[in-house]
Amino acid sequence: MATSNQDQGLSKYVTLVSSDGFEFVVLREAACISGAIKRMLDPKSAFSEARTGRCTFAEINGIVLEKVAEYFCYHYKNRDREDVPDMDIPPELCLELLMAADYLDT
Amino acid sequence: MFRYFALDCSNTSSVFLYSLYIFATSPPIHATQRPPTPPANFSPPLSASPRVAARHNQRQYFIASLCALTEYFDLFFVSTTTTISTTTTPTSTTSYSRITAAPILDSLLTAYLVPKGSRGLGSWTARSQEHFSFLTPKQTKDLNATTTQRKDESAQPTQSAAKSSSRARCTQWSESAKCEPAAEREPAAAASPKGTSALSGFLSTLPSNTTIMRNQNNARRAAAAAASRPAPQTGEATSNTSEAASEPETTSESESAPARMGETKAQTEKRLKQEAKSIAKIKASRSFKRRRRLQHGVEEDEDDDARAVFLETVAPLPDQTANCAVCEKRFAVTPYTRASKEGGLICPKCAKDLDKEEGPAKRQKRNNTGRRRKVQSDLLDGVYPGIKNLVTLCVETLAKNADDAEELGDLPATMINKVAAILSKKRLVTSETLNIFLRAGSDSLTVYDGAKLSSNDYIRVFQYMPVLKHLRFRNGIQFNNVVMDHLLATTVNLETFSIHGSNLVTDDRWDRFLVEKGSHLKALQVYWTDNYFGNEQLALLEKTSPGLKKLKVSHNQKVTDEGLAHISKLPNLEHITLQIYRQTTSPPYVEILNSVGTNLRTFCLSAVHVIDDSVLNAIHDNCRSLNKFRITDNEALTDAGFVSLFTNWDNPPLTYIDLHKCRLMDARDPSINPENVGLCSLGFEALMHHSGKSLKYLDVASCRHISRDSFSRAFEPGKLYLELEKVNVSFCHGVDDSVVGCIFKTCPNLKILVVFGNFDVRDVRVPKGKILIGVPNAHGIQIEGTEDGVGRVV
Repeated sequence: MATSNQDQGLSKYVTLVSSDGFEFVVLREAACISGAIKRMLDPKSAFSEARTGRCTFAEINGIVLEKVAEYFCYHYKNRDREDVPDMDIPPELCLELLMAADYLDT
Repeated sequence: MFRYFALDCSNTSSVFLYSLYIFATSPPIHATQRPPTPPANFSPPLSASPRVAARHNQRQYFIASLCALTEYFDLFFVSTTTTISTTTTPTSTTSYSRITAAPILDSLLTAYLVPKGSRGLGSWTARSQEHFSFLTPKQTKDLNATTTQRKDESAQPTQSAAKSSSRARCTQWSESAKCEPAAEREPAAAASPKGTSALSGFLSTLPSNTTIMRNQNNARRAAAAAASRPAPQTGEATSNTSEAASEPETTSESESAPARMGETKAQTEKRLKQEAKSIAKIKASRSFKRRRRLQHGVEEDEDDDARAVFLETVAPLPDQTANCAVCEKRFAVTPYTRASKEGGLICPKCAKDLDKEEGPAKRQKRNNTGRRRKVQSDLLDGVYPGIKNLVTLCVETLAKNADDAEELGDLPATMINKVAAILSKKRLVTSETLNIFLRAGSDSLTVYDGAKLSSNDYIRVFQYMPVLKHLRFRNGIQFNNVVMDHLLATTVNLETFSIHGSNLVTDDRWDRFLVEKGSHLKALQVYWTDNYFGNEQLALLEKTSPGLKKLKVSHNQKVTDEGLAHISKLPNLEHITLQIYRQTTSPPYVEILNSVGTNLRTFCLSAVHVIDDSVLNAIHDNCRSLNKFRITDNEALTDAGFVSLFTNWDNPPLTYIDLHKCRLMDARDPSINPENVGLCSLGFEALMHHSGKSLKYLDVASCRHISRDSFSRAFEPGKLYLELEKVNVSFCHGVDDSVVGCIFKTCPNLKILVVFGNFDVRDVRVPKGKILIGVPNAHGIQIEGTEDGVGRVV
């Protein structure tokens, strides 16, 4: 997927890369639910992430990042609804996910 | 040795019957013979359909099996409720509940069949001809042949076996079946007296009179029900009637119309007539013909099929038995019996299984019913309905599984605080769950609900966390003298000590604490201490804790004006929060403000009923860095005082102002307030002018002399209060729809607006993401915004 945003503005998708090399391609709008990612990808910021559309997280492993990506989709899909069932979070992932969520400002 | 064999055939499948036959006809192990081959005409049906399973050759082999088995056992006892002896449909189940083979001695066989619901086991000898009627002469011959065949295969191959015991037995049996009841007793009598005694011994161990009586009772009731109904019930259809229809070659059977227990001859005739009539009707019906055409050719027996249809249509009544539509087991029908989708009935066990399968769906439903309440509760907590953020989801999951957690790892302190708050809200902090918060390296611990902790748990805290600096306990009831003594004996030097509800720490322990550990104290918060912590302790603080920056004494019953004066001697104080139950007056507060007011960042006085404008003036004169300000429940401060406070005040704008219940208390005519007591229009405008820019929290509830115009001016279009997040304007009569609208417009970041008791707020448009609490309408108290800006009643 072309991640450069040289040609007419931003690409629709961004790539999230975990510490163990897993890549998750997510809608830019969905990923920007996270304050941290939003700031990373802000075109005004001139971070390398903003130029390439790739965010590498050295402290989040693939399993946790997958859950994070799932949450982005869940949030994006239900953004206009009020009566939303909570997303299931496996208890064993809970702590790591909490750290990641805190880091990502989600 | 007496051997017996008990067999429960209540759910016998055809395959089982076949295995039984193999077992019964196998030669003894020592006789090395070729394996038994099933007879040529034995075709165990692969289909489990009871319709097929009930074909007569199968019954015949079952009987043969029984005969063979009697060779090895002195006595055997077979209980069955299935379709062994009927040939029609599964619904016309047999009425034989028990087939008992009598005692056998050597070569004598007698089989007794005791119909269910007849005279019972107690009167088994008085059997009648009909008990044996299921054996037609032809079948008897078959039976003989089979047993003989078995004999031939085994060690005695001679034809003289024709005279062998088993043949003799069976012949005798079939003969006895045809003879009169009186003569029938002979085989039993001919059996050895030893065997008879064995049987009676065995019978005495069988279910006692109650069973018999119940059987009799059921039979009687069934008979009565049948007599009063046009058609007989499924469960009642005796095998005899079935036989009569399905095996017309049993001439004697057809002639002597089978009588039901307790039924008169006339009743029987009537019943049979009605049965025949309805069967004829079924035969004539178009749907029946079509069904036959579809199922099989015309060559099959029409009578059989018609009877099957007839029996299917008659549903069993409560207190009768039916076969389960799922497992085909027989069970008693009750009013609670569940019907299957196909029309049959389901036994309790299968119904339970079905319930389990449908369980999740049902539970889902229940979840939805509680949903509304949850949403309402969340709204009151200020949680906007919708998607929770990931942190909240994680923290909630974590709190849900707190029992499984061993430690929280290196989570940031804010997260740990969140987990602790949720656990406490759910009242889950116990001795066990406390452990996850006790982290040796950490210097702070907050327990929002320590009500379930014992004094040992509090002591444990100091043992686990030797470097503890900041300790906060709410509901720390058992934080008593023992714990305090332990704390004094440790090296723990607290900088922050916040204790709530510890009314078991006595004054002398407080003194010791302040003397021994007070020098390190930077913040001391003491709530709800009932009879302890009074003026003496406040006086001690001056000497023991000169570095104190934060002092909070709340819900205190002992402190008086005299004690308050000591606070002014703490030079480093930045935060003062006081809620004293005794009546306190202005002078000590003025004294405090004059001495330490300059650096004060928090000044909160609750329930100060009689302090006057001198306090406000002292604040105006002294405070230069105030950020949080509260004076509540007062009836002496005047509007002029507030105006002078907020006008030309050299203090940066505040972020938190709570002036609720600063109003005139006069019940004679509440609307007249000539002296402008309390926070009124001008004071409010001055407040908004001074602090509006940075204000985050504003509470002016019950300040009912703030006019509508004043609100309109304060929130007029063009002004912008970017920081305001929560506003409480309950019981302010000036607030109406337009004011609420203006507030929403001028406070873009507002989250919660509380308007209890404002009856002019009726129909207001609430922007998305904001919560309006307290609208007095018939549907509820909240209006919550939707995207298009149209208010919606929740």
